[in-house]
Amino acid sequence: MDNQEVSMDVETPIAKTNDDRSLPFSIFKKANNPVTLKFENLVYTVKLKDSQGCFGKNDKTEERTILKGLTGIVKPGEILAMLGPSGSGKTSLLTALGGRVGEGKGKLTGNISYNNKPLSKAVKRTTGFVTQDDALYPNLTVTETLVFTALLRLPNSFKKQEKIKQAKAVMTELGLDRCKDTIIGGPFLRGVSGGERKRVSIGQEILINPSLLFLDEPTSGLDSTTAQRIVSILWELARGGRTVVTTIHQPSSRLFYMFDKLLLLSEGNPVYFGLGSNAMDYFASVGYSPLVERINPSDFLLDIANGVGSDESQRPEAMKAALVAFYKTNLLDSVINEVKGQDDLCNKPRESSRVATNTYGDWPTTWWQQFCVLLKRGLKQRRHDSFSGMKVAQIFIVSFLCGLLWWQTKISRLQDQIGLLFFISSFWAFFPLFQQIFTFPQERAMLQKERSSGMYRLSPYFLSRVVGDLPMELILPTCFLVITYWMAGLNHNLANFFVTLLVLLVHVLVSGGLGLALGALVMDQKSATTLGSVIMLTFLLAGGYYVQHVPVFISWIKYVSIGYYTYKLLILGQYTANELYPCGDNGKLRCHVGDFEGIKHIGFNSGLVSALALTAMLVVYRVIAYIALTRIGKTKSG
Amino acid sequence: MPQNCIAPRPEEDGGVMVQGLPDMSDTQSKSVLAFPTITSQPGLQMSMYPITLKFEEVVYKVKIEQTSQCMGSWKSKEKTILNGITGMVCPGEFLAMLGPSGSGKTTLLSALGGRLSKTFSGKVMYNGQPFSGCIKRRTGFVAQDDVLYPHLTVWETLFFTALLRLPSSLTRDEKAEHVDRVIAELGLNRCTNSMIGGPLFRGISGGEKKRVSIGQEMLINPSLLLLDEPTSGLDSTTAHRIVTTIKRLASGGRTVVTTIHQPSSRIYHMFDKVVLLSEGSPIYYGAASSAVEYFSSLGFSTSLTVNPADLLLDLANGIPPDTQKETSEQEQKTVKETLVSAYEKNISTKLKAELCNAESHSYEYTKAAAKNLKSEQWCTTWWYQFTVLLQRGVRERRFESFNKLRIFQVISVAFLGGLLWWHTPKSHIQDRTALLFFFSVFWGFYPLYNAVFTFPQEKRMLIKERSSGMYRLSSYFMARNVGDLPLELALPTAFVFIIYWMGGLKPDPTTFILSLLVVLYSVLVAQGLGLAFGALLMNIKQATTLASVTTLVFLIAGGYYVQQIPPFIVWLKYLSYSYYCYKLLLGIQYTDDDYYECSKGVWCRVGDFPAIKSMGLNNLWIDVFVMGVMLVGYRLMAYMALHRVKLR
Repeated sequence: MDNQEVSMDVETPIAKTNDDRSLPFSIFKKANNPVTLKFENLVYTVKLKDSQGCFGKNDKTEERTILKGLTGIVKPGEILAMLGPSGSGKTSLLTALGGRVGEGKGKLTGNISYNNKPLSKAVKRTTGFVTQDDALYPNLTVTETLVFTALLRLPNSFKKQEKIKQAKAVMTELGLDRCKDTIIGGPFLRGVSGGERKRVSIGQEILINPSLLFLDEPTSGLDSTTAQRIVSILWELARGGRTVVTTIHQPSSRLFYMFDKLLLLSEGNPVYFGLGSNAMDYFASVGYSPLVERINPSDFLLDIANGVGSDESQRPEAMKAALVAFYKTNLLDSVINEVKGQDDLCNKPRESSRVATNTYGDWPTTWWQQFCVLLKRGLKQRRHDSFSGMKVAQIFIVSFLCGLLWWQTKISRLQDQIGLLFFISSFWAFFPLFQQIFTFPQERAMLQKERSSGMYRLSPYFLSRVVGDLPMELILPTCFLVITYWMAGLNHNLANFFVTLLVLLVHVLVSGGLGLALGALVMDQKSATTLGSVIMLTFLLAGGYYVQHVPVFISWIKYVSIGYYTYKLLILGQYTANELYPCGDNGKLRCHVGDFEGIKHIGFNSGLVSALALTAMLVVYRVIAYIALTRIGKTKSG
Repeated sequence: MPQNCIAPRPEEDGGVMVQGLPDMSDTQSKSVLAFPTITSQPGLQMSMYPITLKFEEVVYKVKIEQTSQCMGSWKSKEKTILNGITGMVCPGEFLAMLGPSGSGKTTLLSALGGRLSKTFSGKVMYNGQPFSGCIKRRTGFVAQDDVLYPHLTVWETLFFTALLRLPSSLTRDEKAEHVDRVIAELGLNRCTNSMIGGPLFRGISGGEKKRVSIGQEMLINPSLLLLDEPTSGLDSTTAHRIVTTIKRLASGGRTVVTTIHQPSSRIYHMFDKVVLLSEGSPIYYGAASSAVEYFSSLGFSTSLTVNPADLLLDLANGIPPDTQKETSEQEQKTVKETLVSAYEKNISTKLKAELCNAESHSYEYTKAAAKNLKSEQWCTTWWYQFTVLLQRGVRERRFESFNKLRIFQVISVAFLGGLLWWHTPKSHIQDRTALLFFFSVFWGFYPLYNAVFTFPQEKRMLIKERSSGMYRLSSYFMARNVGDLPLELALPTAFVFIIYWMGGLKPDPTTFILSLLVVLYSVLVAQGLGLAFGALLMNIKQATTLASVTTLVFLIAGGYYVQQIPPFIVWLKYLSYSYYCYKLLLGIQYTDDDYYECSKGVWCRVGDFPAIKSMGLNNLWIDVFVMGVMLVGYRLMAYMALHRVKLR
């Protein structure tokens, strides 16, 4: 009876595979370069800091072994499911097999081979890795997300239209057509459902037609029907000749029977490796069977991995130890033999792998292509944020109120005029600072994921970010100044207005640059915001408006202050030293602008120095941000 | 056949033992539990007031106003969430509601718990009576999300809950005993003194948090306990432990109802009864152990060894067992319709007959008890609630108020400012007035930004606790305001102390103290405005935006940037508390008769300096009064706004 059913199951995918061959863009077509994955005696150790007291001196360095000698093999066409309770090492193993163990995090020993070779960039680029958290841009639609990914990840042997076709084919195959124009959404923004979001993440990896696919908990948080659908997709992918490895926490009964191979982990130790369908028989043979007939096999397996069995007399720790011993006695040798038995077969396709190496060795796309795609994606993603109603309303309200409060202020009220100039520089110091501080911390997860998969270089990402933000950064201050300047009745000369506008825009870019640098360096919104506000507040206090006589020992702050240079340039843009203004109560007495108390300490010289200083800051802050970003997405070279 | 159970009458002498219950427990244990159970501890409390819950033909519909983008042009005016659910749960029984996402489980649970804000049709009866205040206080409701204060320890969380929810007839020590007992029963001893934790810092585990949430409801020894997805996000061992605890609660004579999405095999076998929902319609009601047989009799059976819950969920999704390929939507719809009609044919009629039969029994003893309970309004006095909430608030926010970032920020600015204004000579009057204005600006806005987050941040806790009738809003509000005072005033005091003396302002202790008082006064006013914004909008983003616009307006209207404001807009100045603060600081520092050296050898009157002349140094008491009005007015606005927050 069982044999007949098994044969029936085998027939169906074969027929489907034959049908799919005729379809040019099916994701379920044959894999290009099948990969056999082997791991032998993997041991992974991390260092723990055990600080029992608040003082650093009490720190002790301990080591903890996460993976304790794991061996196994996954062949093309197979799904390996890794089961185990939380903390058993499933994700660590998956990360190791996927070549994504971060530098400096721990020590990994043992051998991992892909077609009997170590991990290479070629293999890495034909490997898909779906993390448990879906790191996607919330404001992009499903179509946009997949198209942009295709444009970045598919090699230039594809034409642009072919890449787009590929992306749409993936959407259709994954059943995402119904919501193709829905945005992804996020914590504050409603979008596609959890299952749809997961399928988009899988789709991003499937676009490159990977030979090897890793998934970390692809069904967590999904209901059973959605989970079923996800695993069905994996099943079809494997039948197409791919090697699929997944961690999964608590699959339902039906999902369990869809896995080919099973690795059951208990505190980093292997308890079972082999065919999924044989797992229950194996444990029965060593004395562990469920009490009731109707039970989900994965529930039972998780219980025994936790040391919970039907025999209450056996303590959990003793049971775990017994299971590990049974594994070594009954299964380890056959697993090792299976691993070694594949050596000869894998040697044969060496010739084809050379061709593959050439095709995938370098970046799939050019620098310019990466820049253009990232620029376009960035603009789509951030159009909602940049011109959100609240932000625009804020700017216009403040600018109109400024205009009213400073309504047609004449030069005879010089103190009020320079007050406006300083307020403008203050306002447009903090505003872009706080906007830009959030830039990189917010996208850290996406950047890490995409850089880890070798999707693009850092420099096109960085430049597309900087360039893409320019128009949006400059429109609002321009609107602000157009309103405020003329309402307040500053210098009516058009040239003076444009000089003032130019200074303001440079000021905005410099302040934003400081925000970028702090955000990239600190990578924590709260700390970066605090630090940014302290620094900028100090710059403004030292800028020459509040404190006109800065003590000698602290006056160096003035020369690194954004506010100082901007304020000076704004004054230069409005007045000349020899300009006269009525300064007496009756209006008959006339004085030089240069002698006004608030302006005298600023001085009318060194305008060029101020401009150069701001320009230098403009460049340096962004360079700092770029260098800080190079730390993200770095992985240990396999 | 589901057992026809009758609520037993307690002993005449008031003993807590329930007659006949042990027998039922034994029977249930043999037929349902697949694994040996932990024997009940002697300390486990029995229910004092058994409740039989009955619900009949519950129907709930909502209007759909928006069209889904995925559906294109498809529109519907009304959507049926619940479509005629009927059932009964007796004391000692554990009912689980199963079904896929969107099948209506949580909605039904809310209806049974009296927390569905909109009207639904059908009857929900508790011992034959409709939902009432006294039933509310005998009901525990554990929501899916654990809404807990992250900085309190497990013991503190439960203790403060006990102080607020247990009646005044118990002493503080007796309430503490209750807490210890609950902690022991739930197996939380190991983490009694651990902090709950939150998104930003690590605390106890997910399973432990869930048990704390359950513990909060157990403190009142509820007769009826409702739980929404108590195992979501937990691993199987933790989930099993949670359900084991819940099962023991039911064994104590309580009525327990839970929604649960995808229970494991072992958990499923702990249920007494299950209701299986499919798109709002029931497709099974009855003993958990009989469900598989029922569906087999309809032709849906499986040859594989599967978790019964998995089978039920597939059926609720319209997927017949042993299906390898994905079924089409039409096939799924057919299966669902088959199951719904089978329910009507096989279960619905018998169930209604059973309910009618159960109604014939009397609840005389509970009516008398209900009368006594009705007179009970609040468990505790206003003053008692205030003091408990004050203590809890102080403990919860000790980390927030003194977090290193804020201290670093304030002290850094103070020192840097002090250096920049280092011993400013009297002749630099412009610099001195700027320093005073900086005081009013910095401490006019800094507290406002912090205060804006107060109520939006605690919105979920407030709604949860007020929904269970834990305390009055006024005691919460006053405790919040009073509790924040010392912490919020410490930093500005340090700030003023540092920068005042470093900056070389008037070296007179009286002047310093008065200046400090004015700044603290401004802090309180700014804080009040922040509280009002947060409470009015209850949305952090909007409140922050409004706060930033307001601070900018007050900044530029404060009398320093522009000294001669045009007549048509000058009213804005008088709305700005920074204006009053600045004016008061000037008035404290200078008098009309003061002189300063405005150039070599030439002395001028301070009162004639343009920046000071435009402000004036007189009538300071009017300024104090206006700020007092703002102080009270803003907080009153905040309180009124909180009152409008809808309870669930």
